[in-house]
Amino acid sequence: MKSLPFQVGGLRPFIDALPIPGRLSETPMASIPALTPRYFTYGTPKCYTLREHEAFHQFHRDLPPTLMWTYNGTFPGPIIAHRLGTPAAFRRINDLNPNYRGFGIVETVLHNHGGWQSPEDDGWPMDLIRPGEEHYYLIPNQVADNDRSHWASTIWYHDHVADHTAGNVYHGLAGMVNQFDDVDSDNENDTNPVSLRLPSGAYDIPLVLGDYILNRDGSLYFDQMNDAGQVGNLFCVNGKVQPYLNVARRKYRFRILCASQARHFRLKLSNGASFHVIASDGGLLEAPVEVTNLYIVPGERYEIIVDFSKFSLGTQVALINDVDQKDGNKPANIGRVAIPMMLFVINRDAPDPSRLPAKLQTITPPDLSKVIATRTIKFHRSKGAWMINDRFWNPDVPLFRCRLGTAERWIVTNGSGGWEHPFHLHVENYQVLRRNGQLPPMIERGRKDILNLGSGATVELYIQFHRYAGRYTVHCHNVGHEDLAMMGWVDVQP
Amino acid sequence: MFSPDDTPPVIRPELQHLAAPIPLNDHEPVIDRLVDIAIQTHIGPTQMSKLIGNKGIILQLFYTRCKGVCPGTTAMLKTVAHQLGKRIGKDIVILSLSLDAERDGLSDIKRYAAMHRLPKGWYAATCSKGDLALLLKQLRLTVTPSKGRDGTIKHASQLVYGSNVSGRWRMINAELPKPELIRDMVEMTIDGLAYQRRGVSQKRS
Repeated sequence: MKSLPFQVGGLRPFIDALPIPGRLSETPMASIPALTPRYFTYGTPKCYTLREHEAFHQFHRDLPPTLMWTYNGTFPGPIIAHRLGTPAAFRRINDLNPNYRGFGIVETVLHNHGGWQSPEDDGWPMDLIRPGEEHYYLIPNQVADNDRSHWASTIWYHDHVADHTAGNVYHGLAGMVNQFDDVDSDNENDTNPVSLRLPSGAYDIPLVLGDYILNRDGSLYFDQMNDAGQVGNLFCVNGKVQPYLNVARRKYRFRILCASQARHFRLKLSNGASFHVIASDGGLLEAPVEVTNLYIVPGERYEIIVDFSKFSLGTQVALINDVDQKDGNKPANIGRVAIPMMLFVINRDAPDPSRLPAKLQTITPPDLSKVIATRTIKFHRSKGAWMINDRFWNPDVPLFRCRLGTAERWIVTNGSGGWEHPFHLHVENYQVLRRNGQLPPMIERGRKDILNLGSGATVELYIQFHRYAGRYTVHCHNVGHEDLAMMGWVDVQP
Repeated sequence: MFSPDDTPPVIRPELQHLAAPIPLNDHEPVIDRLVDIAIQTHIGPTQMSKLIGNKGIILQLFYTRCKGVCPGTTAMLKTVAHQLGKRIGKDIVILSLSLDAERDGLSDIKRYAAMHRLPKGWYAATCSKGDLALLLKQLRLTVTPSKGRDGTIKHASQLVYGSNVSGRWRMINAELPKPELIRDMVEMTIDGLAYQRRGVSQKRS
């Protein structure tokens, strides 16, 4: 038997190269049986197939393989690249092992997190399919008619079955989605004058952050009774423990997703160098924001540009996390630790036709004249469990009802005794108006679907219900809290 | 997956402090099967494993003198049991286990079972203080006896449910608004079939 690192003193960081998920290929339309007229509402869709099945994944070359649940055999799943304006039809096949024994549940739901789609295609937590069954759904890839800003963004897809989201996502059911449009065009050599020519191709790289615990045999360790949300001791990027990435002396775009169960990260470069945040959950910011650290919580995405041309050849720079977190409820402290997440090795020169424009886009500002209601949404702990507005998850009764075509102001509060909650709303993005009475930080002024509710926080949001009627799920994206019923839904009526 | 390079770098001296191996410590054992403790049910002594067998279980932690959440939880469970119908006793058992190992004796347990007319397949039980501690540790639950003279025990109104066969274990707050939801969550965890009833198991648009 291979000597495991349990016997040799631990796992060595920076040993494995950063894996980069490939893009999901189109499948022929004939592979999706009986597409109804609904799928052609926005034009002829591109077709894709996602198959959920078990596959082995190696977190580190010194570890034995781990049996995961995957989309199409990889962890994380393949990157889905969308072009706004071109709809996509999906066939999802559940080929998980019906005789599986352990945490999680092989009955699955797929949520297109951050996407603007009808609630029936969004991944309602009760719409599960069993092994051997299939599910079809439509991603419109549209922008609301009255919004002239650019919505192309980094979103993601993951399992969302009620009561078992934490276990199923921990099993590996998660992947990234990159949306493009004419402005964010996936081509740094684009001759179209409206294109921003952001770093593209091999220089546009996803960084999916996660933390795991493994048993001695390489299997996943997961505590089903941990109602705070599990935090792990193995820090992973794209499913590898503390990998390295050889980079050229030029600009790179990194799409960062915090896919942890409950862990927060504050990311820094080990040499203190600055980088630019260009986008958040719902797409481009109005202008790049130069920072030396970036705080990110479960479910949240930020995109950054790091310019390695300012470093000399041979330089090594680690991406570090300085949040120390002992349990799922909240960080223990920030700034007193330096946990390496990955290593950049600047090992070559390369041409760089990409740009970092001073202006990225104009985000449609909130139209407060459309606001017809102000609501308070309280995240809190009571009766030994997590609640929203004094209620537990109830799929039959909404938290409240809203009207399509209107806008609302939501005041989201965290009344918990020191716990923190990443607030997530499905279907529609929102814009942060105020955080604790102040204007939000610059990187929080874009379109959002996740925001951290720190202890005692009050965040004021603007939300507009553009097109889709139905059930909009709202929940804490600490999936341990979510599974313990910290979830509700809003009934958006036509 | 694409890995651009397979030759690990030699770590430069200024980053050596970040390159220390990560210790892989053992962690607390997680729940797989309920700890096999000896219990005294209202119909006789048995082992937890024997009581459950291949069935799913809903575990209520209560005590007979509770004037707080327990009466409400029991009432809710009675509705859940009614909704589960013939499944109770056949492939799901309910175990109401006392948190008050010191005061709840066999007579208290029997009185409780009679008062609530527990159906076949629902057991009221007590166990030793040591075994209770083992179980609570496994479930990551804490209870706090009151220092006052009223003898109340502070505890959450959680129901634990799962199956030794599936290895799936969850908990849910018994104060959820609808017994149907508890029933559905329990069935989904035990056998994944609950939402067949809702008619959405397979979506074809």
